[in-house]
Amino acid sequence: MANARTTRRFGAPAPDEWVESTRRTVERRLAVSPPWLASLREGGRDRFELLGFPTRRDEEWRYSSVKSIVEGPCREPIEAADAGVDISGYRVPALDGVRLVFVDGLYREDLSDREALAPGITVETMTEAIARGEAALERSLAQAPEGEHPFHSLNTACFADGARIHAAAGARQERPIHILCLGGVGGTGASHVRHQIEVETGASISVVEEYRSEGTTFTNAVTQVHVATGGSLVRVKIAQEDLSAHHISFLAVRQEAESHFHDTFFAVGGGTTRNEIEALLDGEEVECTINGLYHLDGDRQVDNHTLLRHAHPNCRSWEMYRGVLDGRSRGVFTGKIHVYEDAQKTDAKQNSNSLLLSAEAEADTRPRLEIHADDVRCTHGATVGELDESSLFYLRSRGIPPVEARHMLVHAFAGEVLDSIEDDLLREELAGRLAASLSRARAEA
Amino acid sequence: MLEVKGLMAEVEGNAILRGLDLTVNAGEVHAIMGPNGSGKSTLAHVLAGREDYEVTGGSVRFEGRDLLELEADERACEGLFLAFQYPVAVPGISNAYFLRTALNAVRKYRGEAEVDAVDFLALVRERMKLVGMDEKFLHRAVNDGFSGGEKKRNEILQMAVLDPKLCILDETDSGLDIDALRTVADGVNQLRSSERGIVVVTHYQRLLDYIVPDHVHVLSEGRIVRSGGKELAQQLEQEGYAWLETSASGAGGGA
Ligand SMILES: Nc1ncnc2c1ncn2[C@@H]1O[C@H](COP(=O)(O)OP(=O)(O)OP(=O)(O)O)[C@@H](O)[C@H]1O
Ligand SMILES: [Mg+2]
Repeated sequence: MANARTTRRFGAPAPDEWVESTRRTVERRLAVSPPWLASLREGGRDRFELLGFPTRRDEEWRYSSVKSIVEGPCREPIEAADAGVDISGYRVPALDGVRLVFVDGLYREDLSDREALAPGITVETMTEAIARGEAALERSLAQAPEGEHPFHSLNTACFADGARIHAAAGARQERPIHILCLGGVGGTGASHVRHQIEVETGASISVVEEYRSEGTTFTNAVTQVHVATGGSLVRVKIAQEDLSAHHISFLAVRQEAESHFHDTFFAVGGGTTRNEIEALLDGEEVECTINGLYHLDGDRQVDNHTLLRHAHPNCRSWEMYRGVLDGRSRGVFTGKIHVYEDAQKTDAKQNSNSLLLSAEAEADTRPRLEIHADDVRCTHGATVGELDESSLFYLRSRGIPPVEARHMLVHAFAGEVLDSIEDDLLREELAGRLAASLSRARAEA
Repeated sequence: MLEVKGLMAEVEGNAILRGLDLTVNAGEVHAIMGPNGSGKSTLAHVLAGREDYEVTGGSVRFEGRDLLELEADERACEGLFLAFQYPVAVPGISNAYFLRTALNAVRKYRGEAEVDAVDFLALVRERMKLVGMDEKFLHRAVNDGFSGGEKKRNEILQMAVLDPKLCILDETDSGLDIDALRTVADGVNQLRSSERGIVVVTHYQRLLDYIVPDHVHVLSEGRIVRSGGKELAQQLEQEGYAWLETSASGAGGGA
């Protein structure tokens, strides 16, 4: 995250209703924010008003329709602090442990569980961290990404809460820490959440960030990750929102020397989803894996934007995004790799593959390599294909019915991304959710 | 068991099968020989239900049912098995998972209970011995990176696991080394039974030394032009197919 702020405006000015509702929300937040946070929020609000909303004429948003967010009913944050909600359906063995639950952006102690924490691991809410007045928090919350857009600004201005996970030097947590964000429980509207994950030297944790919703909602999530020297973080983000929901997320990562970060973006469901990731490999011998797997049908879309900044020598990054596209859906992958002049011996591998299950589905891949060092290995590959007819016939010739044969081939396609998740329970859980999503789509087709 | 009458099929507008007759009874082994491009694999694929071949005439009955009415997977479940001349690699699906899914699909169709992982493993291990396959192939992706001969053995393994009524082996011998040929042939011979029909498509007498056929047919330009006993294969081995040109309208098919 750089702080060099541009004043480039987007295609459409923020509509009056948005300006007014954001001002109202910020007023409410100011009442409970310490002065430093209040000024950050006011800054966010002003930036939002200045930047306006992107349109399809804005290069980075050409494939993301935010029109339905801008013109839709999800402007106001939902503030139903004690909405009745049953989370038993979201509790699965793979994610049975430390759990932080946010309902419509607000923390719910009654639904959360922070018992099983390993020594050195702190899991708190953003509200708690703010109340403690930690100095580092002010700095980190003030950071804005290189390509700041109005949704970041809105997030800073309006976020109510979020998770703050800290792993002290050498600490280890075996099972994943589960951040569960439920939207649309208290009605139709927006939730802005802000999470931070801090992994100190040599510590190792895994975090699952999960988004579920009911009905038309707008989730605007910003997650900031810092992995210090020799630290390791495995993160899985599950976007499994209502089929009419809007989801915009931004993940900012900074990795120091010899650290490991392994990210999997997993999306089934959701109406429009934008998944944006910026990682700065800020030290030598860093390993960074950014994977994604999504299944879309109907007229849903997922727009992925990744930016890997190789700033130092001898770092390795792997990127593998796979989309399974049915109906009239659209999957987009824009992957930038920026290799700085100093970053010799960079090894960066990028792959984007799409499987089209219908003639009307569409996939777009835009790899962008910007390389300023001469001794590097950077590769990118992209494929768009349909299910292989001879494989399908082969499976059927052994008695496997067509629906099941297709499922098997889709799973084979998705397999490489799922297989890179080491946790057996979690991998099986996601495979099951993919299967359920495929079955649902087929049943509705 | 299998009764093919006047079968005509084309692919992309080209007539390949032009009135083919063939009858296979339970307990019999038939060999089909014939020049390259004569339509042997086409016949095998049409019987297995491949959709890119269009059947334009004739009929096929299998165990009293109209085979052409059935989907490829239904035909397999009814007990028809094709060992492919060119087995397909399916990256990302392990052999074990594939075989178990297939076995359970067939069992489900027949109203039998599914086999669990433990019983399946016991069964597949035993059948792997039959075809001389190492267990490590269970965990590899289906035919992915398999050598030519390994793919062929894998076909026979699938056949041995699925226990079909009618087996069609399309050039299973090509690509096998001498020892492998023997093992595979032994495997096939063990599957010979009075309830099963077997059709082997081959170019070479050698396989037929091991799997001795009851009937041998010559397929040429989409028709069975000659049928006989096992001595016909020996004759072909010596004389080749040059005689076809002079007797193109020679003896019709049927066993
Ligand atoms: N898609 C296709 N389009 C046009 N012609 C085809 C197609 N597929 C097969 N053929 C033709 O059909 C004919 C029969 O092919 P087939 O594979 O059945 O021969 P075969 O008897 O099995 O030969 P071989 O002994 O070489 O295996 C060949 O001339 C082949 O070129
Ligand atoms: Mg052939």
